[in-house]
Amino acid sequence: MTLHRRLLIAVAATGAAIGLLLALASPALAASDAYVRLAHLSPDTPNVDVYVSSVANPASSFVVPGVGYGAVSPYRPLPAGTYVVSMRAAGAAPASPPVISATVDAKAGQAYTVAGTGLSASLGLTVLNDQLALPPAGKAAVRCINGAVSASSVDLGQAGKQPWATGVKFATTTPYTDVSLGTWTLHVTAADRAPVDLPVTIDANSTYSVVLLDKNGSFTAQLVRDSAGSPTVPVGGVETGFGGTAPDEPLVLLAFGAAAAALGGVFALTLVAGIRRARTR
Amino acid sequence: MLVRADQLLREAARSRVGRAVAQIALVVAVITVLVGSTTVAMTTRLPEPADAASQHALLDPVAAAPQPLPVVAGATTLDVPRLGIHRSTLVDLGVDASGVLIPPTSTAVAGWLASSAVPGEVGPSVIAGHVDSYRGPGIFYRLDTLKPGDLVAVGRSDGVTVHFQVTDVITVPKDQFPTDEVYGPSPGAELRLITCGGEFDHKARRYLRNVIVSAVYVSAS
Repeated sequence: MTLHRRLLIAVAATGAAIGLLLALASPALAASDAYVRLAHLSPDTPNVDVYVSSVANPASSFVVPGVGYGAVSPYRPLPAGTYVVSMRAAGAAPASPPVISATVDAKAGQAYTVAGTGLSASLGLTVLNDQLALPPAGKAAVRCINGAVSASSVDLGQAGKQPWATGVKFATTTPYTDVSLGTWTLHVTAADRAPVDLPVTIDANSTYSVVLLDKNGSFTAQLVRDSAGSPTVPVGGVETGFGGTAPDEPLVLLAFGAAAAALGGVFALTLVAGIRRARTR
Repeated sequence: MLVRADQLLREAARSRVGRAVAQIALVVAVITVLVGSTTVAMTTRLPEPADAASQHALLDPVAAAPQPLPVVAGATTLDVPRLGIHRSTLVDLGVDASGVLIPPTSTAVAGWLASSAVPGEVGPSVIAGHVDSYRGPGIFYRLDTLKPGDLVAVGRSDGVTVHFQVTDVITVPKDQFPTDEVYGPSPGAELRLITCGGEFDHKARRYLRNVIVSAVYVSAS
């Protein structure tokens, strides 16, 4: 056996062992208070394996293999903490240096989209904060993530109305904008590209991302749901108790205190009367 | 005295039901093993961690573009093992004319806000129950003793049981109710259990705080 072959086997074995460890990890059983999802939005970057690793919670580490351009993963609940997200070429050894990596400080109650963005030569990992705040009543929140290099400046909005985002550059993301609910047509225009009309259905209290891509030579727009709130948002708290297990009102204590005060009063009066009597003698 | 008798009766009923359920489960398990299927037996086990493949599966936006079919299922039963709640019936809840959540009429059952997310679908699914009646404990007595990691299961009208895991237990003043956190957008399927807690205002006959338990989706069976 040549040294070369032995090395290959060793690398493969290490990779398999690490892969197995990652597969055995059961993050679903850990307390989860942040959400992370992954996206590949770099048009000329081949498929990648995405590694998400946690130093503090190794059991929360995981790998998503073979992520291709245009893919947006479902969210994964994770314990709050610091994670290192790394991308390697699909099939590359887990121990090999990553093409790119970034640190995500995942805070409790927050959601993040970690996206590979830009062209391959200048590939970056962008950490997006995803909105979890309630949009105003009767509205939903939508943002735009431009992953289409052919569309260097994009306007988008509801068809027939003023666009709510203009000049959106490739590899950038707009803030969320409050938009109307219901079914309507999203109109997307980009210089030198045929405009795209995308029928969308927007639900109350939800948040969405419009993801722009170059798919097989054509400029496309996709609507991805980020989060959904309760369609009905009740006002204030909930009245769910009648007090049967609450401690009794301190009536007994009050009565005791009153009795003690009365007794003290009587004692004082008696004392005063006694002194007076003694003096008059 | 009344409270005590109430509790004893309920506990007796619970253990009798529990024994019956255990016996039925045993019979079913034996039959299942004989038949060679594990489907039924699996429902009596602790939930498996979420399927690794589905967690890792990537959603291609192209494939995801068609809107999902509306889920018509509702929440019908509740299991909270730490509180001894097993297959407790859930009633449907709504809001009154001023938008306030109407709690269940009975203090012995919890209710599901029928206009919140369907358990297991993305978004918060909201369940409220009484901490007590005028006489003694209600269904969510000691809800505030739940710990992160505790399991909660919700049975749906379509036969699916959705398993959740507690992530957070908070007690907040009702006049500072965290509407955004309870009802606001969430990226995954989540569950909220709400009851009363804190100091009881004897004059107003109401508790001044709400206990809110948050849980995240683990699996469905």
